[in-house]
Amino acid sequence: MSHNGIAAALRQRFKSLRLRILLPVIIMAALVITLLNTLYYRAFTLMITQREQDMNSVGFDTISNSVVPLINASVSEVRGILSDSWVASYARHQYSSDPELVNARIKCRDALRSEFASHDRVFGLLFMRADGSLFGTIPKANIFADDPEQNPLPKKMKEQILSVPLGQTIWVGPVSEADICGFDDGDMSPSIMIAAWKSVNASYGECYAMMLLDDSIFDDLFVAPQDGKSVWHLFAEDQTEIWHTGKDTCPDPGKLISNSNTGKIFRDENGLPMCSFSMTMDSPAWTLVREVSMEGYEQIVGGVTRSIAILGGLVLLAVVIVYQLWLKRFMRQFQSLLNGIIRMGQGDLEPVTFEPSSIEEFNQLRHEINRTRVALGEQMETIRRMEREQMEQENAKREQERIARELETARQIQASALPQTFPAFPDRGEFDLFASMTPAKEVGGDFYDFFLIDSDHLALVIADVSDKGIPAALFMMSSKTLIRNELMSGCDPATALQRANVQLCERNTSKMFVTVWLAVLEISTGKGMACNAGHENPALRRAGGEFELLEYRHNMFVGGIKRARYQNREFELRPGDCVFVYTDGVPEAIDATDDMFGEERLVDALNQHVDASPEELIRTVHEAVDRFARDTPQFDDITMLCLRFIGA
Amino acid sequence: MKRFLSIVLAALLILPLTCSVALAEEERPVLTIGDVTDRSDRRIDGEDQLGLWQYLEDQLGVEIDFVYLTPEAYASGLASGNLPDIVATNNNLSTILDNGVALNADPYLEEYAPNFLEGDARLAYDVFKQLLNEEDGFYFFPQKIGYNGVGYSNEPSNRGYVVRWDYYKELGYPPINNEDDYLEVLRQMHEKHPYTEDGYPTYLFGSNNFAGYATAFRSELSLDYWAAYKYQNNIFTNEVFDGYTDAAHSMWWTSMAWYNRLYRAGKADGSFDMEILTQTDAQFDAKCARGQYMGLTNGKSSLYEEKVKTDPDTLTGYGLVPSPATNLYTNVYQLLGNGSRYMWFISANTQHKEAALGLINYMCDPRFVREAIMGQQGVTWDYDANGVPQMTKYGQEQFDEYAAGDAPKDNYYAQWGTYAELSANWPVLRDNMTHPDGYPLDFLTITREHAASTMTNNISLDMCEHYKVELPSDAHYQVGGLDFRNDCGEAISSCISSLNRDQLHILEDAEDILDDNRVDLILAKSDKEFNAIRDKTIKKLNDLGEPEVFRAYQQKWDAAAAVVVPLVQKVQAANGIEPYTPEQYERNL
Repeated sequence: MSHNGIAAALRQRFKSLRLRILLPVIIMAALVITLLNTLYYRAFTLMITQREQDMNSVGFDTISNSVVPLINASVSEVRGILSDSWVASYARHQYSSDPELVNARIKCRDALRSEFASHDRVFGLLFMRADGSLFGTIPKANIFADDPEQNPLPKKMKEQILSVPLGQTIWVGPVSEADICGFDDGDMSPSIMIAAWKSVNASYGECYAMMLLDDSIFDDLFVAPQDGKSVWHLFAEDQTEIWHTGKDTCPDPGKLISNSNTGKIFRDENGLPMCSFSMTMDSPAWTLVREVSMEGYEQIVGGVTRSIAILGGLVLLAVVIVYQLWLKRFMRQFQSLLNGIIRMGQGDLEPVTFEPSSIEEFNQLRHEINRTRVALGEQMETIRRMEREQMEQENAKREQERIARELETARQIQASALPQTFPAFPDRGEFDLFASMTPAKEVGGDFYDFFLIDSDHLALVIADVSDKGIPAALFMMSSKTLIRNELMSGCDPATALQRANVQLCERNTSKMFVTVWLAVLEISTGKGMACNAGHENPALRRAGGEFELLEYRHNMFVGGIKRARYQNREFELRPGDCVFVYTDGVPEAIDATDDMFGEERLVDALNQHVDASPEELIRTVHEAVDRFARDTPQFDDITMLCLRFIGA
Repeated sequence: MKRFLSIVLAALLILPLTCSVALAEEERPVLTIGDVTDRSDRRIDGEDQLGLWQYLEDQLGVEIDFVYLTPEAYASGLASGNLPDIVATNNNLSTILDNGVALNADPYLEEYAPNFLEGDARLAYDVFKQLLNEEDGFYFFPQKIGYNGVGYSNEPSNRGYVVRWDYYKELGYPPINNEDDYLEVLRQMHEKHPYTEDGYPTYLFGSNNFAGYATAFRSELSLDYWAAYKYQNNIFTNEVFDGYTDAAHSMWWTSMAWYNRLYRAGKADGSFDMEILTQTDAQFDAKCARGQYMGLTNGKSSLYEEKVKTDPDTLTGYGLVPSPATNLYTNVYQLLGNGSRYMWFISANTQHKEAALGLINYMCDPRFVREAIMGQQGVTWDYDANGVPQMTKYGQEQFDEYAAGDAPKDNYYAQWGTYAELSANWPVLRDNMTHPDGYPLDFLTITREHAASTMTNNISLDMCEHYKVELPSDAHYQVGGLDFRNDCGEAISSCISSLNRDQLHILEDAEDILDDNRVDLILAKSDKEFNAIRDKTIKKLNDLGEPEVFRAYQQKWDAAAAVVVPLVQKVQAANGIEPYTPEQYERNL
């Protein structure tokens, strides 16, 4: 498995509920164990460091109370050395011959060696003249650096010593014996402390005496506080180590001192646990540090903490095992619930039989799941029903739209079947003709027609099929065709309607019929014949007069009774006369109160502009109807035809 | 069933036998040996001697326990008499006698330690009986009687004209036959190298403070300083003379003259190290280690040892120029062992007198000493068809491993005893004494071949190449260098009792007189000034009465010499050591 695969598997693993439930328990238990250990460790170390304070007080008191007097005594003892004649003599440094010089050196050396041999605490004695030249002795070297350039002391140390005020003793160092000697034979004292003071004498002038102490003076002092686990360090003011018990020098005095008296346990350079205590003496301002190994204590602490950890681990293990068992059952119940939810999610809303759980929340969840299942089932049923209904509606809508499209198509076909070009006969000035049909939303059965049967005979037709829709339209088309055909064959209006009636009745399975007003006008004379088969009464305006409805007996509507008989009615138009025919959509147009437009309003509308052209008359009537109906939907075709006879 | 019964019966028979063996083991007497010497190489309780001491225990039928006696424990033992059965001491013998803690072994030697009354050990017995007033008894057994060193030195430094060898080679190895030659060589070396490679100033000659004033490069002087104080003996005549006032023979006075020459030669250009008059040994050693001196009283190895760490082919170091003035510290016959300082005595309160004397008897037996040094015959060595002792293959391998250093614990010689060192400190006889088979007890390392094959020092190798010899000692011998073959001074001096207190006080004053005049002598501006100071000093010594003290010492010396010299000469003759001839004596004067 690739790394990515492993990582993904681990991520997946961490996402598992089991681990996420178990992990906090383990973490919490580990935290508790750690906390216990930490508390124990802190308490124990506090107790230990407190206990160590007792040893500190003994050690610090013993050492500090001894070091200073010891040093002071040593300083006092050697203060008078410069009064020694040989030393004073050499300090003057005025010799005329080599033997004098060497003898003076030997005498001086012997005097000094004798002096510090009698003070076993004194490591050596050096003297620096004001010019920086140095002489004196230490165990491994007799130094007579009469040339200041040969003074082996570090420059800073020389400056410190040369600046010491009269009557004051300063401490400098530590400096290694090797640095003073100028060589290292492998057996040199690493830290020599120097007490220096200014000495002025009339005989030898100004000189700076230096008493050297090596760490051996501390050996006895530190015997008493030895406890086998402590390392004592003595640091100069600049934290340079002067002395220490044990084998190794302190690699990091700053750390040791800064951690002292804090009660903190820290690690030394070898990683071993330590704590440290310190005190700084007054004069010299050396710092005494006790470094205590906590290794023994840490072993105890380690043992106890390990025990706590082991015990805690066992308890944790037991808890985990028990918790695992419980978790197994929990997870089984949870999985059961989860499966129920999954099944529910998969659409299985059948009631689920859950194992009874000791966890009340699970029981509640189980109840809620089943309740949700029922509610969800009901909801799903509602949704399905609504979906069905919506589908049906959409189907119906689509059907309606299809029908509407078909009706529109039919209307267009119907409209195209009607003559719509006006002026219809531009080369015939004997008459002015205009017609319009405003269909209702449904395909209607109204139609009009006009055509020249011959050059002197003009046929005018307006009809209204009894029904609406496609069948009515088809019926209208048939009627219109039949009527035109009959008229074109030379029939008079009544004959044409009669023949058309027979043919329509024979094929009229839908039981539809059509009302027709049909007229044939002899253009040259203005005479004509009309036949009204159950249609609205035409309006006639004689030249100079007003429109009036011509009410007379109508014939049987066409398509109703096969044996019906139709009679012509003759008429004569004079120039200026105007005939206006219409379908029932005009008088039966309703307003918001279902009040009909009526014939009276029709005649009134026609008579408002009696001299208007047929087109204007039709528009006037239409506007009147629209004003009357306002927003009330038009439910029937409004078809109008108007002829103004002009004459030859 | 029969088999079972036979096993039970056998067990019943074996059990008492085993118990008796165990009891016998437990009944072995425990012989305690205490060592008061503080020299680590003479400690006797080293774990690496287990094999040898186990062998001894089995041979003697004892158990041996070692005890290191601290000075406090030893002092307490001297006072109370509660001491180990055998004590190895280097303390004042008269104190032991005065406290009566030593067993008078004289009545038992013949019975329990007959070897001590034979051969070289017998000489020590005779000397003790005659010179140490032991007529009424015999109390002390010396360690390591015999010749100290052999003339096969493969190391570069010894006593004579010591020079910085790399500079000496640079000069073309000019011969040095006397002090004039030596001073000229030192001067030329300094002229070429006023500073060391590390920038330190160089000087003609170095010495370590007052103790080192004794020049060691004049054989007629340096060969004979075994006498106490500033008295000196002549290795040719075995006479003693007064080093305080006999300026013609005195090493001290000769030294003063030499250093005065150095001062006058080097004062002007600073090549005389004024600090040698005041410096400490450590300061002197540091200068030697830096190579600041062109010449030294004694060779120092520190310079070479440091340089060879970084340059395996270095010749930087001090070497001894072959010359008639050279003396080689070899062939010194020590009649009373290690300078009479290391003795054994048996505690007067011992409950294991026989066992203690039995141990001494083994230590005097050359056959055992051979085994103590070389290991067991048949294991690490054996005789070839011609009766010549040879190392076995195993023995040679073990020795090579041991000699290479860091030998493992299971190395034969690490177990048996540190080869020819620790174990050889114990036997009464030295390892270069002769075995009854006619070959040295240590027939391996006491050979020229061994010395040549183990020579690794570049200076030694260079010396051999230049002088066309096999060993550096050959170069010294061939130009007249001497060894101690004829000297009885050490043996005589070890047999002389101390001067009395008044005489010692006079000598202390005499030392002060010399010390007081030392600087003036060395820093004298002329021979005239030097001689004047010398005469004045000798007059003071004469006025002090020093010559009377010398005469008293001379009487003791002559008495001891009368006993020792014939004995030593007898041993020398027995060992084929030819004494120096009068001609050689004349030449070296």
